[in-house]
Amino acid sequence: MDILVCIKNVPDTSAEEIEIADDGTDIVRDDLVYTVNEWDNYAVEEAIRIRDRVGGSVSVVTVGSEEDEEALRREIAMGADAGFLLSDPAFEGSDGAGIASILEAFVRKHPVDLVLTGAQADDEAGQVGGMLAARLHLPFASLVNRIDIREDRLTVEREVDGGNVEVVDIALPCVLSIQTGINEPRYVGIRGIRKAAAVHIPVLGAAELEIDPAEVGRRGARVLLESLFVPAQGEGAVMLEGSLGQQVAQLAAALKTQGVIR
Amino acid sequence: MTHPVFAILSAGGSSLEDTIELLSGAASTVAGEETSATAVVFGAAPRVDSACRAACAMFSRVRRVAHPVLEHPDAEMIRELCRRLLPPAAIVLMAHDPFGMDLGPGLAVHLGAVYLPDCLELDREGTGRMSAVRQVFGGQVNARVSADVTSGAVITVRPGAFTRPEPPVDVSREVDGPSVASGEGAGEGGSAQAGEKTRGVVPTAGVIEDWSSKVFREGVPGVGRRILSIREAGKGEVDITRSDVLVACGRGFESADDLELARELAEVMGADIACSRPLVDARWMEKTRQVGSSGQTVSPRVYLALGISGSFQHLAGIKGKPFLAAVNINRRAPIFQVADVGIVGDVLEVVPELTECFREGKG
Ligand SMILES: Cc1cc2nc3c(=O)[nH]c(=O)nc-3n(C[C@H](O)[C@H](O)[C@H](O)COP(=O)(O)OP(=O)(O)OC[C@H]3O[C@@H](n4cnc5c(N)ncnc54)[C@H](O)[C@@H]3O)c2cc1C
Ligand SMILES: Nc1ncnc2c1ncn2[C@@H]1O[C@H](COP(=O)(O)O)[C@@H](O)[C@H]1O
Repeated sequence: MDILVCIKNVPDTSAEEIEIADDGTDIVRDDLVYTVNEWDNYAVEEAIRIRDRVGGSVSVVTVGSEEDEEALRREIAMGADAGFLLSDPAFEGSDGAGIASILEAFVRKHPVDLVLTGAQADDEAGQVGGMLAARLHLPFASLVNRIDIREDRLTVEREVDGGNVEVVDIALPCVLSIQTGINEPRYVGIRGIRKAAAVHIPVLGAAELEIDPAEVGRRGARVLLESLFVPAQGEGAVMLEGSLGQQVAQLAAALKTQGVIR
Repeated sequence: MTHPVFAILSAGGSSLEDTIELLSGAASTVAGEETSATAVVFGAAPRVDSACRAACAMFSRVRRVAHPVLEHPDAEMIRELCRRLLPPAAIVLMAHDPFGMDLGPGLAVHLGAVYLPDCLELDREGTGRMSAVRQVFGGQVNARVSADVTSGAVITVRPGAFTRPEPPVDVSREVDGPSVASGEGAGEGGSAQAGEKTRGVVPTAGVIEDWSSKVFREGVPGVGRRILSIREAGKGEVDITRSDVLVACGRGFESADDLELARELAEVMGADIACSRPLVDARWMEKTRQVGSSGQTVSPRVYLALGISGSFQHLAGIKGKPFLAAVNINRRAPIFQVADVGIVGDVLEVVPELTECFREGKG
């Protein structure tokens, strides 16, 4: 089975205090460490396991810039067979629909049996997978946390509210968006990354993909980012101050007032 | 031009009442004065009928689409039915839940509409444009986006972000209890007036129109996917939904061993241990201890969040407004937007100290 996994290189922001850049439409990215979007790692791991079970190949693809090549290499180090960078000045500023149409153009040139995406990335949109499926006229299932292969079909499980599971029969080829926890992504060692450094990664632009530059990028985008802002603190927390010992004592006192034991 | 507004509901969906309220709130924000929103309810009888009646309380027009194939809310099927039923340039609303996430993006493509996911706020901006506020980067930052909606929009709405609009003034007309044309053959003629006589708030007296035969005239759409069954989440040894005090751990704990610190704290506090999703994904904790939209819904008196960022999917599982305390190394972590008391600090330092505090207090 030939599998394509769409990946995105994203800044790791969870433990960082994000600052908004002066023009108000981006975050300050200089000091942020980039990693492959969490959900995409699970997708690549799943693709590798399927290939190892039934044969075939795993390719990874991203729409981005030169800097995002390292993300592709990381996934090759993990076990993917090939990586493709879709990059062109005309792609810059694409909205979700633009990214989906660039990926569509790629899939039309490199048909596969199964396309995997992550359930969501740093935009927290969860849109690219479903849009790509619709553009390719392929069946789609989101939030997949189990895949079983049955001849030319799959039985997949979708995780829905409350951890309940929808068991779904879906025809191949199809597009699935992968939820975390479907597997345990393998550790990628430094040796693997070094080996992947030599792999040739083709770069494809609008011309190679036969994309009309007016349809993608900033020009084609119908959804535009106006501004970023830090949400109001609302009622907000009482932030404790003082030494660690003082803060902890205050916290303990507050918890006790709320009726935590004796 | 005005854009007709539709709210998509699935009769099999979870928390239907909440979704109806959410979408009617969102609809009143985007509909403006000139139009009112229509709810479209998909499902199989008899469940679809109770769902239609519930929708009637908040929507003045309800379209019923019933068929046995809709026993489970299959978004692939419903997407095809929406294409048959929705007019051009419609504004289509649904909840940002596993059903909306499955349905929405592809529907936007098929309708040629823009897609606005997980919206917290919505505003009409003159004709043909709309703006929305959404969370990005783990909820530390909000984004205001604006969209060209001349060809319509598909919008998923953050659960809980919109509440019930003020009831319209003159809906107090006396009507009979809701009656719905039932059966698959009801046809378009099967519209019925419905309303509910309730004390307090006067509900909108919605009209139910049966669109089943119209929508299925061309037969059941062929789609490449079918729901085989629904499996309910398993039960674990502890039931955190009944816990009074919860110590909840997140990815701020960098190893499974460090969780021992939280267990000790929970013990002296007389609390149960809960967690965020990544710890379950990493197989460090059982799924039954996960709080959130895809885990348990808890309603303790006290919730202590340790190294948890406070994503909306996590917070969605905390109900009943507990006293919420948070420890997080990042001052900007969204958990502090909802916490009652917070310490900016490292769990590895704070947790043992806190355990000591409780031990001494006991002594
Ligand atoms: C459809 C769907 C359903 C989901 N359902 C759920 C769900 O039910 N429950 C759930 O929890 N999530 C759920 N998620 C995942 C959710 O989006 C978040 O990814 C998740 O909640 C993040 O968990 P976290 O806060 O522990 O980790 P992170 O977001 O990584 O946050 C870790 C936090 O720890 C802090 N930190 C780091 N080191 C330290 C330290 N030493 N001391 C103190 N603080 C530290 C960081 O500043 C950060 O704020 C779902 C996602 C999707 C797409
Ligand atoms: N620039 C991109 N290049 C390749 N795949 C992407 C890109 N952006 C998003 N995706 C895919 O779409 C998924 C969902 O992202 P999003 O719709 O942006 O939340 C990601 O997990 C990726 O699999």
